[in-house]
Amino acid sequence: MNAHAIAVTSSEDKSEIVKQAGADEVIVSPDLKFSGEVWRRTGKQGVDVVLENVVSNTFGESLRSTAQNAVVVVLGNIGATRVEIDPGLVIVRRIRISGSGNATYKDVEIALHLLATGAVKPFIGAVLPFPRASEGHAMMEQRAVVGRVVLSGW
Amino acid sequence: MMKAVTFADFGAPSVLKATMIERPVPGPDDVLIRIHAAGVCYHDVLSRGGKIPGSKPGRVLGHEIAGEIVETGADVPADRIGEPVVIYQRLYCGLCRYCLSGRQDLCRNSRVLGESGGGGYAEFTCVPARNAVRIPDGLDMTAAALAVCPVGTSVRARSAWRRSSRVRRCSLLAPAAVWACIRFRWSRA
Repeated sequence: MNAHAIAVTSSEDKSEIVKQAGADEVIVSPDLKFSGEVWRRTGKQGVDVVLENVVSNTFGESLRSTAQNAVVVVLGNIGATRVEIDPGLVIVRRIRISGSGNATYKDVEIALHLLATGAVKPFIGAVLPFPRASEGHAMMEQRAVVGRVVLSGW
Repeated sequence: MMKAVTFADFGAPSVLKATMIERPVPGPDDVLIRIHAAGVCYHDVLSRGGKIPGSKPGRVLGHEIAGEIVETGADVPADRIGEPVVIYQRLYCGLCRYCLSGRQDLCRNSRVLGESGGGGYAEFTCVPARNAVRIPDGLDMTAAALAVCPVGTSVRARSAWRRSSRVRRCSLLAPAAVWACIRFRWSRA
């Protein structure tokens, strides 16, 4: 990927981990008002692509962070709530909002290859036995874990 | 019978309880998989909370599954028994224009394992044999379980913006989910 990646996180604790995951820069934004900082770091150019996996409380700022003719890919929906869009901003900047979801069969084969070759290393925050699934859900809901929770063993 | 984690009503995480349910029986084209690892997706959290349209209590959640084939249906080669696999979570029709063009993710005749039941929070699950994708040698089950959703979804998302004519800067919003969980080192061409 020929991209310069700017990651945004609400927590200082996750900053270093996100950087280790490949981000070139990390913006820590507890109040989620990050578009001004993106604007500053890009020399008032904005970003060409946003990968949005949160949406609730972030989508407006994501749109404001874009360059002209940018793509905002929506691939997650943490809060599962409706969001407002400023249509004027979408028109003026020619922003394309693109939904993305499940992998295809081929994507899964690529994903397995990336994992098997070490090109992608999953960040697993906790491995719990299946009967403690409720604990895993609570950890995710309370954002008390960084990385994936995996259940294994009874 | 088999062990499983399920929930009687929508609610807080504590509604999830370990219990015993019927062990599935493979049909002619199916395989029975002993589950070794199941990732917890935020989608599961939303399903349990009743925030996903069509969710129903009582279902076994979990669509990030790695395990081993332990039984095959009558029309599936028996030599697949013992194969380590991940499960492609969308149970697609294979006949519609989307499936035939390789976009099983768009199949309107499909359902997703877990949110529609039969998911990974159990000892066993049963899926069509074509949904069981062999795990490459050397990849452990815990990591492999994440191929189908977090890594696979990221691969798909990359496809969504590859058509962009020029990529200079890319912003990743990662406070909670997919991208923060992945260390990626795709080459920079």
